[in-house]
Amino acid sequence: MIKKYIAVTWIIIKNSYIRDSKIGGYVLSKYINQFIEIFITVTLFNIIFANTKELAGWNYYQVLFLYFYSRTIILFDNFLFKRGINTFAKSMVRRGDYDFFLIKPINSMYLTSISSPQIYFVMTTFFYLILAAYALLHSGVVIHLVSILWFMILSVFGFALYYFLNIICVTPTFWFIRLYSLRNVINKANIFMRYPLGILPYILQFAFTILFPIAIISNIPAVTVFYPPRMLYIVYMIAITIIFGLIANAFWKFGQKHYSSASS
Amino acid sequence: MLVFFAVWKAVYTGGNITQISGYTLSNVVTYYLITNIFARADVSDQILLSDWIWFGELAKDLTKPWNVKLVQFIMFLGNILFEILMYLPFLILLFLTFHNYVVLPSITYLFYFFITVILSYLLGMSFFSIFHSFTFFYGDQSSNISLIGFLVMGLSGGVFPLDFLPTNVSWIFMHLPFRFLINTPAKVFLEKMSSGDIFRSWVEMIIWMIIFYLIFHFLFKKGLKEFTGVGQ
Repeated sequence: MIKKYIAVTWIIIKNSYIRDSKIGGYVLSKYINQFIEIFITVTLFNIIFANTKELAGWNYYQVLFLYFYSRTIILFDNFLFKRGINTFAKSMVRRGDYDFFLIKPINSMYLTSISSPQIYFVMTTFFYLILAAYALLHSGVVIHLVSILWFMILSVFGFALYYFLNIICVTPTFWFIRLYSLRNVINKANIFMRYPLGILPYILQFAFTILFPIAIISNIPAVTVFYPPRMLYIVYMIAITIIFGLIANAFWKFGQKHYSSASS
Repeated sequence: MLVFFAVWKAVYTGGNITQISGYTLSNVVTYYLITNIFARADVSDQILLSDWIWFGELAKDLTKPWNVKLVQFIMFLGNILFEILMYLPFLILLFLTFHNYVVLPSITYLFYFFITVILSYLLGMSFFSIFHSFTFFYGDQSSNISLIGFLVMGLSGGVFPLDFLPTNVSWIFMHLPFRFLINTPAKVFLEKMSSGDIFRSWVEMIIWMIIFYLIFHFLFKKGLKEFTGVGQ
């Protein structure tokens, strides 16, 4: 079964490569966009740290690492799922194109999400990963091998959690077919991944670690890499990913029952 | 807005400082509130010319006895007003949430602010229309327009007040016309400019507007000769 999923994913990615290689100008503009964002954000961080030594106990390079790392997760999601999920929210239900995904012998939630990868985001993901590694090495914190291992494991869970939250955000499309802005909810919310959780008021910390745990996607792996791994954080991250995975899947299936093809 | 508030509050309290480049925490919060309006009613998103050229919609207006550019301008105004009206409830909510930190201007400066905002939107429209008219020659420009819009958002002070930049860097920003799009209106609202500086800014804005408009006018006129309706 896993073999089938890998094969389908690989075919879709190959198609995406062929498609994206024909729109060089568009891809280039996306790269420039990323460079501008890095330039603006790093300038902002420089201004911030010209006036304070720490942000909620995090030094300049630690905050920089958090930013680059969160962007890595977001862009990897953009590479695999963003366009598919956006298309679902924008037109699949309204036009009835979702029919084509329902009849395939693959989980329709996964197939919808993976349907339109953006291959050029692989490059930017790697670029951000390198920048994150640079910030990590300059953070002045001694990094232990065990921390790196936990960090890698938690990154997988963090990525999965980001995907599940994205799915939960767009699933109401089954009911509100013209509410296009649903696809932007996660884009707006992911700003909470970029900064240390400690800067937020307690009520928002509660909201973004438990109710809609987007802040922990980057914060828990980052804390794990900088400080000795805390089992409580690790267990929480794994548990909440599984819980939100189950919620996303159940919510999707529940929404799907409301789908009645093009007349939806 | 919530995140920026949290970040800057942490900077001011963590660094135990009361001012950064003359801005108190209240000034910064008010600055971001103003920025939010500009981000919501983003000038680069509200011009339809590029789409109209690319999808051939422009042909309908070209056959009518009215000025196409004027029609585009009216639609732009309508879109901006609509966006601002739609955002008003959230703006009120933000105001109520951060009311302890919001600095309100005097009536005179509020009047200056409205004039500056109108000029900034006109300047923005004349600037972005240039890139829209490139559609006549190079096809779909939507990704380039959003790219330029993103760049301009940074250069205009949409992410942080330009006064926060080091002197040598801010010198460059202060000599570009983009500061008039967000930074100048926000500074007027915060009463960080004298009346003389505000009037000088208005003159500069009008000069830049005329320059951009002339470039756009030239490209539009030339582009119309290339226009072939649908299938451009």
